Amino acid sequence: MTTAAHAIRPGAQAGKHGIVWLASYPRSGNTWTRMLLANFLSRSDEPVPINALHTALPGVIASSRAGFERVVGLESFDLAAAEIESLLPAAHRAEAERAARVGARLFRKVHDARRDTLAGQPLFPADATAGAIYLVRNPLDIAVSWTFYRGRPDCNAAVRMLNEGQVLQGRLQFPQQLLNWSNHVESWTNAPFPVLAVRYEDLLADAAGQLVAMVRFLGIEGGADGDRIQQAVSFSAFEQLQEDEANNGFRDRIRACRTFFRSGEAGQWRRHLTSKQVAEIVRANGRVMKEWGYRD
Amino acid sequence: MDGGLPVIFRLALRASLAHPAGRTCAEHLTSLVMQAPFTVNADIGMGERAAPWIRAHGADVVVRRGPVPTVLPNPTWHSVAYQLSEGKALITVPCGIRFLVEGGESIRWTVDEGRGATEVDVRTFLVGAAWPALALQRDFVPLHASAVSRGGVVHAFAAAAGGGKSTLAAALAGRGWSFFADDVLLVAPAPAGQEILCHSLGDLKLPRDGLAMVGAAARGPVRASTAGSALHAELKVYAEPREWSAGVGGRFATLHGLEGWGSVEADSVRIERLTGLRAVDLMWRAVYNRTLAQEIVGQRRLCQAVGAASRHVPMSEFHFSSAANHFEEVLERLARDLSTTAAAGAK
Repeated sequence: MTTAAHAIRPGAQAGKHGIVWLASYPRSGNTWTRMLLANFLSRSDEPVPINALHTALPGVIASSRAGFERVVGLESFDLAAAEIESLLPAAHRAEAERAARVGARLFRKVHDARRDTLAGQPLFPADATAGAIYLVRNPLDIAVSWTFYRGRPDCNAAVRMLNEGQVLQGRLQFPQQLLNWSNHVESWTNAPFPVLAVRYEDLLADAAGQLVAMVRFLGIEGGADGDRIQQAVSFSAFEQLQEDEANNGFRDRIRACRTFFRSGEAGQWRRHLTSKQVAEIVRANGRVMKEWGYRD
Repeated sequence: MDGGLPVIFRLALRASLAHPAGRTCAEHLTSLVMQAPFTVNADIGMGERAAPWIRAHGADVVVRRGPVPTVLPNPTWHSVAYQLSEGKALITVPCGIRFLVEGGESIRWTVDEGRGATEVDVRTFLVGAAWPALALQRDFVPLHASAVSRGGVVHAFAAAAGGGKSTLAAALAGRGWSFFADDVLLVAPAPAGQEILCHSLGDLKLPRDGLAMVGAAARGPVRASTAGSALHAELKVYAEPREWSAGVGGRFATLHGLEGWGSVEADSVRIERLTGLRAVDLMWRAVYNRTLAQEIVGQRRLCQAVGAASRHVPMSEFHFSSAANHFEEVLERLARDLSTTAAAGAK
């Protein structure tokens, strides 16, 4: 059973150049993790506003149309999906090279499963990658969180997504291919580059400890500075994020979703999923759930 | 006051503050509306809107099919689809189309055999990629913006890809405004103190599911080579708005940055006037293919051009709900704001 953030290969550490993929299935703590890192890196006496996250942590979501167009210089709506996919590995490389020229790394949120393009090229090339932080969350809780996020009346669609996979569609982003939960987890945790896996439940239990692990994995100085870690944790506290969203809105919130930072708790599936839904998710994902401590 | 800013923003901000307020040249607007700032002789159709640019003889720019290299020797800069070298830009598009854009005077194009690219495909990338590169070589600044006009006065909307700029502009067409530009708006170089002029070339492109909402008619897919493919669904289609502008030029009157995302009051529309650095930043972010622009024009000159335009063109952020059931409310507020700013600019 995995109970703490750990490098998939012992001692593995992210490289100094390239892209750090912040990868997860949706609703697995990705935004929270980015807020933790942004607040740690900012060294400010004020919390990073949630709507400034995109600038505080350099790098847009990997599926961003705008990000693609900025690098490739072609209008994405003039390109077929296969053409876009054929250009994405080169676009990631170009971004990594550009960042390396100014001694920077990029942090890019990803919900896609790690996979190859139709032409057989890795969508997230190792030679453009510094490493990945992969957020894992109990799929039973993802089902509940996704259902509220999408404003659905029940969890059936979420169960289908977790068991069969789904392609997320959106106007501002390219389609994101998720695969089912188990395959998504394994796609990233078997990546040919350094990966630090962090369980959402461990973030809830000990955010400071997990942030220290992330900072060390990334090779950023300051992991031993307890005050700095604690400040980043308090600036990223769920209540803080909820208050910011209530006062200022959140640009990543979709319209169907009443609040992006809704509950954040673990174990809510016990109140919201039927026994049939639980059984279906376990049937499709049981082996990997057990590996990550979500089944006895 | 700007000591903490990156160099590029300091340059742009100084330029934005340096020039006196522009004077209105209303008497020139009528002729400007009808004129293209330079002329083109092309061996391929450039779209329904290209007519004012086209000349049979003696054109400033020649577009011809011909040999195009796959690489430029000793490129000074390269990216995924572009290579630059000594006044040349080589553009490589995934479907086997290449353009060589040279000296602001020539676009040569070719299609690799067997890749299935058609004239429609060539035209889409000619206007969307080669044309902005040529404009940069001629000292124009292309903005990633769509626009409407009335009486030679142009109101532009900038947004990220998929942000709704084409849809809002198309929806305003026939409601007191004419459709002026889609995706690429060419901002003309202007001597200090003079008003900023802008020009359009390309046709309107819209997502299929947005046609009915804005009352536009589909004319055909933007790509012919991918028609029938399962991967085709994401592409836009060429469309006919309810009303086109009479000409291809006008006075650049306002720029609205579109921010279509959830706010505290989810259904509200909020308009925020931008000044100083925030205005410069909006214009800077709106530059089409900005990295390429910096390489062709030079960072300093691009910053100065952006800063000067920021000084003359009132700018706003337009926060709106992108939900379909609020579309009319959003349009009404935007239309009202355009009327207000147009009236203020005319005084």
